Amino acid sequence: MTQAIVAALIVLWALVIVLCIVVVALLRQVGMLHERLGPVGALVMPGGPSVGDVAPSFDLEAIDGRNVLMGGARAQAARLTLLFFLSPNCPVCKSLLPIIKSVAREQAGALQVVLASDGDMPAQIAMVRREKLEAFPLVLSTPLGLAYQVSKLPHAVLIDAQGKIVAKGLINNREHLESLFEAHRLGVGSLQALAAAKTLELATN
Amino acid sequence: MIDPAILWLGSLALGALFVGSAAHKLRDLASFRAAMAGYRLLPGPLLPVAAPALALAEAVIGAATLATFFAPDTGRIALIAAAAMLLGYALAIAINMARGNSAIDCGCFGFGARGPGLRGAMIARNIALAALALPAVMPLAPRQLLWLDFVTLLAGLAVLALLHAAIDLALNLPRKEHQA
Repeated sequence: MTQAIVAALIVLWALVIVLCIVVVALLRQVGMLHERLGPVGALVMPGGPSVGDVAPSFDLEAIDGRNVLMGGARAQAARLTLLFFLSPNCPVCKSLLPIIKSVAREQAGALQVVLASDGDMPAQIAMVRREKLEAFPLVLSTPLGLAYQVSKLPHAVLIDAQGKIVAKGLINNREHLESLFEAHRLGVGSLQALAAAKTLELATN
Repeated sequence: MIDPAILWLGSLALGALFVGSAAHKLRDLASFRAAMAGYRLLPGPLLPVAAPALALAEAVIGAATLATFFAPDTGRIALIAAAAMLLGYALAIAINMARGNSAIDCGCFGFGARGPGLRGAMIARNIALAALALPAVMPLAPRQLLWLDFVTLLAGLAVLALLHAAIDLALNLPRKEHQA
């Protein structure tokens, strides 16, 4: 019996030591992956109100009858507004919807999500039903899209409680979407601006 | 003196690795031949013979290693041969890395499935695997098998399989990028 226990212990410790080495190697790799996936901002398209401007004021009715107030100088919202431009026939928008839902859930209470689209009402209603978007107001407004000069979808604009545009851009994945919130958290208009500020800081030091 | 449980654990692990790896190579000999050609160690005309021969050698050594429990002497010889093969592969990797010819398929177990490339850590991995055969060169301390030995063997094999998978994963993750 003693011999079997000794053998088991030897095997055990040998395995534990190798395990530790592998864990350290994998942890290093996780760190490297984070380094590789440095923050990437959403692609800011030219045109439309720029970051820091007061968002154009809109008072719209969502397709389900809800009233949606957006932008304007009056501080009417107690929380952030994420304005997400989408279309029923845009596959990337569809892939982003679960991410929008999860971000809305994570920031429940601090974030109001407004979906914006235009055109064909039946297709919009079908999309809301298919993607289970009933929780978010969907506004159909061509002037809204024109005001922000949305040329490519999916496009998102983050508006703070004071009605100012915090960040905006073309959103193709979760990282792009999160970069909008990151911009709000850091108080820097875009991550490009943050990178520029960092370079400046390095240059002055 | 070495405990038989440790010898059996090493032989079962290496035997399973060799049999699995040989099965993989025999199933896709063309890719294995291409991987061997990438090493530029053997003259081209030899490859159509050498590739299946190497894969078969792995299969035979693996099977003999697995049988250590029943035929201890054959098993020990097979274990030493397995270690020699692993070290030989490590040497081939080292030679090609020294030549700068490192952007090739390593031909390891699961070759072709991931991005090609040789890494220094592969040599370390092969040496660690070869170390599993170390008990084969030590005198055995004969004793009765206990239930605890089966636990040691089963759990040890499971952990070794996980470790192999984790090391494989770590080897294929991106490396640190050097700042220009």
